[in-house]
Amino acid sequence: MKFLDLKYFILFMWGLVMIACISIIFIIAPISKYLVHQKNTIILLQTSFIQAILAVIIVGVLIYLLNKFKKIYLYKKLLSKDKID
Amino acid sequence: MYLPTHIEFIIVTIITTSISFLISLIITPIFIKYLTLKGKLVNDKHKPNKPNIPRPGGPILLACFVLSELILFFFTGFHEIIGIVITAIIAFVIGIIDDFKTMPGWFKPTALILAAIPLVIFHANENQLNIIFGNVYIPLLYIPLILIAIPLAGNTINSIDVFNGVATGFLIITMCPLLLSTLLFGKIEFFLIELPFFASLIGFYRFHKYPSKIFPGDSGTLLMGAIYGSFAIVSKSEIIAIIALLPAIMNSFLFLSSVRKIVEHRQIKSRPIILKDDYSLEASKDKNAPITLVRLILLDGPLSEKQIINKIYKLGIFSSGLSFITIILQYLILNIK
Repeated sequence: MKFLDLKYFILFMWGLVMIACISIIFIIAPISKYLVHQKNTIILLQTSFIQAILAVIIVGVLIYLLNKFKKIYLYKKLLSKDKID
Repeated sequence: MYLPTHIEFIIVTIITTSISFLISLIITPIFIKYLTLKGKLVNDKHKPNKPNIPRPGGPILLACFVLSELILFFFTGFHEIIGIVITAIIAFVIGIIDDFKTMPGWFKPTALILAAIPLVIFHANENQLNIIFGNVYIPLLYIPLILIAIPLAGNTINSIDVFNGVATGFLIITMCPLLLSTLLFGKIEFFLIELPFFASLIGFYRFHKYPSKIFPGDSGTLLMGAIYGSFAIVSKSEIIAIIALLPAIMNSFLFLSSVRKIVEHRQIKSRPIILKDDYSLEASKDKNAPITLVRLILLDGPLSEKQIINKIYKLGIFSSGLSFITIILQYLILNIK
């Protein structure tokens, strides 16, 4: 499997999904762990809001990384095509 | 209320799965004739002489799905089934509007939010999100996630439907890890609910595969995507489904990041691929043309339509393989815990 194979792009995306899962487990999930028996709606809303913001930040960072990878991938792909041409 | 035993449920599922498969196999040729008589035809632009192909095939998929799922509902009483059926019907209506009238780019993603609402009303989700390494308790956050997930799934499948049979074939491949994940991490009942849809896809693929005798249209692809997304939510297999759909997600991401706005593909002036005189396809050299999965595939050189379809299927098999690896990983983590 060459680097320029599209499977590498998918593999990279899979890696990002795994990073997102790990981030959620270790950063976002612990915030609401104490809420399982919590009945206070305000605290529940506040926590959910914080979790949502953190999730958006994580997704934003991952999309930024994916965009960077896309640019490198396209640059190398077009460079190798020019060499062949 | 009468609750069926597992054996009874399995028997009914076998019957509904067979009905779903047979309906798509028997009704599709009749529906092809009906659409041809009514003149509901579109050109297959990638073939010599541009043959006219009937469209849309979405009503067949909807009929198979609704009939089989309603039988299962009357037998089991699972309220989640009604939620999924209404979601599918709304996605189908949105698609059929787009089939007969070219709508602006924002229409499908925005309107599909409506399709997600029944899943919230019927509480098809659990409050915990399953994310491979454990579960996250997000009762409030899960609702916006559903409202995002259904439009994403619908549009992702819709955007990959560029060649004969791709949407159906790709979905059949990516349904395999979803079925296994449902069996392992969801409820057995949901696995049995997914089978009739899988069967109808196989039946429909016989007519949609290269060279197509019918196109599903937006009504078919949005319906397929919405059902797939709904199954992922009810079976606690959201991440597994995302991984299986990665080639299609990649296609949407490449398109959106190059165009930088939500736009209907028919409104794009410079095409990402060029049809050559010998009916092979090559990547466009136009810098303004959007980047798509097919354009990336064609950067290695011109290919025929059939070869591109096979390459997309291979990517689907690869991403489904990654989904299976993730399922194994999750299974091992659950057992260690």
